[in-house]
Amino acid sequence: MTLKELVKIERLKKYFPVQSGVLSRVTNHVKAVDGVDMTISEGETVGLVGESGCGKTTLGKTIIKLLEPTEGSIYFRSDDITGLSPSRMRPYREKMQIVFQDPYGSLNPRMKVESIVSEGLAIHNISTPGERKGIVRELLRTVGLREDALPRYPHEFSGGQRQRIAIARALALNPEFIVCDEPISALDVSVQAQIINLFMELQEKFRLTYLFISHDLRVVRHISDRVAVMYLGKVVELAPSGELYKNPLHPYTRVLISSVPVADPDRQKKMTVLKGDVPSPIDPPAGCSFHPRCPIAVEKCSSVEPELRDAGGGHLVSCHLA
Amino acid sequence: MESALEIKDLTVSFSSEGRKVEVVSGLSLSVPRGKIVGVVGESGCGKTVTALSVMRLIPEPPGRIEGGEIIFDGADILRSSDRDMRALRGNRISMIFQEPISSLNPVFTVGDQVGESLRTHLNITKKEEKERVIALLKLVGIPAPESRMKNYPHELSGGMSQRVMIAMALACSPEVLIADEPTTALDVTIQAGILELIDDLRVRLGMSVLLITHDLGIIAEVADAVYVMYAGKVVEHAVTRDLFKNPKHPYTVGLLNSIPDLRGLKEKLDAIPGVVPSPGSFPPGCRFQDRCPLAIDKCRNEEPPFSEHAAGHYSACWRADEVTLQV
Amino acid sequence: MTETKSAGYWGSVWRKFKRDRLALSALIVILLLLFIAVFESFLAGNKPIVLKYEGHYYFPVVFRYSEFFGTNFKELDKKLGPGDFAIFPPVRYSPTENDLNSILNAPSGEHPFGTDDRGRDVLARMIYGARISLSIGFIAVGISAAIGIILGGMAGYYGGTTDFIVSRLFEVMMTFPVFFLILTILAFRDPSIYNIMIVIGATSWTGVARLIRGEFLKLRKFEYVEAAVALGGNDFRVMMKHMLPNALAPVLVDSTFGIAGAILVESGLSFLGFGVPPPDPSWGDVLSQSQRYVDFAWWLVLFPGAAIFLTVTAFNLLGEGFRNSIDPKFTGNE
Repeated sequence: MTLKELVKIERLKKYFPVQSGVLSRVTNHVKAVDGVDMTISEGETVGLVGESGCGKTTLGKTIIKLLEPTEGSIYFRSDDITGLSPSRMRPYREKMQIVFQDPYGSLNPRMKVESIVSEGLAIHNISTPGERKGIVRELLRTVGLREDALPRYPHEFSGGQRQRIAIARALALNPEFIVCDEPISALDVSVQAQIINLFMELQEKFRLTYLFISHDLRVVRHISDRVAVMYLGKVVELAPSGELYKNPLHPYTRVLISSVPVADPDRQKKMTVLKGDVPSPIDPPAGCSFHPRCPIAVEKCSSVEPELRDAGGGHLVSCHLA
Repeated sequence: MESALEIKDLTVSFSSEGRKVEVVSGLSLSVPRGKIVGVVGESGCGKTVTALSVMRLIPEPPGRIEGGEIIFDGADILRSSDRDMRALRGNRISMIFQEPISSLNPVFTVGDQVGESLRTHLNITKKEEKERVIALLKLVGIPAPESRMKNYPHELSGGMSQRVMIAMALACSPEVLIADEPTTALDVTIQAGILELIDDLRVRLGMSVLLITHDLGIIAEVADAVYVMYAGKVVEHAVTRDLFKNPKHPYTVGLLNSIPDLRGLKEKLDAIPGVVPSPGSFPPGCRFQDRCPLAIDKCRNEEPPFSEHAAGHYSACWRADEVTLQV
Repeated sequence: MTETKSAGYWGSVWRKFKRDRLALSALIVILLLLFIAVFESFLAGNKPIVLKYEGHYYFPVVFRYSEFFGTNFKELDKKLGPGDFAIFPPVRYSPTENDLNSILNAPSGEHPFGTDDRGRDVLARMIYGARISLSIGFIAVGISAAIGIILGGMAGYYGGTTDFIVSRLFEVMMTFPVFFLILTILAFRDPSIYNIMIVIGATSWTGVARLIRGEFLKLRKFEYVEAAVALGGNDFRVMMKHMLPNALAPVLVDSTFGIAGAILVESGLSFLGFGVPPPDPSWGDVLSQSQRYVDFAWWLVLFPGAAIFLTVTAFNLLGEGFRNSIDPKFTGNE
């Protein structure tokens, strides 16, 4: 592939301290993101799937520096943005945006739609306050909302409409890269499809690059060019999406795919049920972190940690047996 | 086929700020003995209110059951006394709620909570209770039940809590189980296990299940028959395979086309336009007309009857015979 | 979207508040007290509001006139010629006007609330006391809210070491019995009304600080706050625009209770003789005189006691009503 790299992360780690005792001493760490390498090219959508607690949201927030990484580096267009101070980070904030999961929690209830959408413009001093109204109007039209939304408050809108407002806010600064953190999981099925379509239209129109985080494999399959599967803070498989769903190499990916209910009553029912629970990210198992639940684990898996390696054609997998 | 539970013409309203709003309008459905019947619909369609009506758990006021019958074991639940209802609830009819974590009481152990309905409904000794609780936890697939029953809810994962909820619902071997979005709060791998468990228990205990969900995929996996609800009404009903292969209502088609396919390509989805209407703001005529690609003038003025368009396949649409999967 | 007009947050709070009869009556009582406090000199005093004397108009309540220097307006009243007139406030006594001929008079037509041991009109003193009591309440709470918001906000927003230091400061402050702390401080400084406000304000901020800290800790995780950070907003903007407005409602409730508390503290201080220095009138001061004459001068107990009770109750009811009408729909934490 000759695509230009937009975002690159190297050995990225994000640990959260666990405090205990009267003196709030740090006794342990939740290893939410535990050494992730990834390259996202201009104009592509990388899907990020995994179950709750696997660290996918933390990874998304760390990439755009809403969280400070514990270790590793983040590059945006080959600039290292890892250690930048808030003021030196500001020009990059224009280029990297985020759309959140909960359309009820992601809009300030005390602000009118107009000020919500134009806030980025105000922060970066783009255009005069008078011109901003016109820009906001145009943005609302782009995301499929009527102009009369301007003077209204978020609570007057449905979930899908709120998500459109949040998307307009993210678009206001003309970003190149948007982290979409479960942006449709809280919406009704019929509205989910509208928002997925909107994301795809906007990508084409503005040449956007997405990191699309979701627990829903169907949605990720639909919207992504490449898909990364996360388990316990690590990427265990990363492949072009057609390839990943046709030919999953990691046993965890296989279980995930087979667990997705399919709206086809004629399909052979072959759900694989995993044994046990997801282990604690405070103290992940030694070796391959999936081995205690893996249906095909061998002795080596419990001692040697597999590396993420190329199994051919850009299909990366970290499994000894793949 | 004999019905384990039958709802006839149920109408439920809620009032807020002096305005009365119909949330469920003239709903009829039946759950045949030993089958899983699915109810699909989006937020505000009345599916949860229907479930709560069967349990007689609608808060009154603001809620009010305006009319209809719910027949269980030959008698109308809506007319039985509160005392009779308490004897039924959790004993012969049980319910699983969506949020497993908030549905468990944090101050009691798992064993206490599973044992509670046993103590309430059956006359058994402490030792028998303990044995039954262990057997139930084992049945729902909780490893090491003897030690787990001493745990408090916060010590359990989401999947485990949902299994405990199911164990509680099953404690008295109910004849009817109502599962309201039982897996929505859970991860897919755990969801698969829970669905398999519900189906397995149906076979082993001969339960009848009313499964409420927004996910057509789940319906396709486990349900025998489906009711599709929209804006407080049932708009389509058929056995599962018929409904998926030959839908007769544009809303069902819209829902089916809204779900991205695992085999699908990166292309535009056929989304249903507009927003899900909230109770009190339903349009006149057919309640789906303002979002329907097939709507004609008749749809805007007259409400379509819920009628049979093929054997056992009902739909409330003026143009049902023209509906195909590719609209 | 069925509504055509957008109701903001405070609009919806007001809609709910209006339905609470008790809180609404409390609000009316407080507005009445504020009216009394603002227009005290038009309600009580020994100078006329409007005076026409020898063809000229004068407003002695508002302006000072050199021609009337040292004039007793009550005497002047008798000397008015034809065409002249004087409109006096409804209570024709100043709060500091001694009248040794009518010491400790029981309530009568002349003195509806009676007189104290220097013959001062109790009603006049009560009217002027309203301003002092209310300003102590509002300003002391303003000071404590400002300290509490700044310290609590920093603790909640920055967390870590800042939080540790501020939280220990709360705990130290809370171990002191505030009333005795105030007494001690006032023993060293002269008990002017300003010192009382500052001392009450500076010792009662822990409640607000803890509230704000808690709200900020919670709001810090809200997605709209994160979105503002992602847009490039600096700490100050994020705190002032996204966090403080959403954290303010509980603080206002707490402050309403705080005003009631401050008024009580001031009354207590005055009652003990540490309060507003004489001859300035305050409700606690009037009440303190009753100590010596309690066996017969019931009016010195009843009227200031009732005023303090009514005011404190009104502020508490207002706070309660206000707390009930803060609509959870808007706070975003359903």
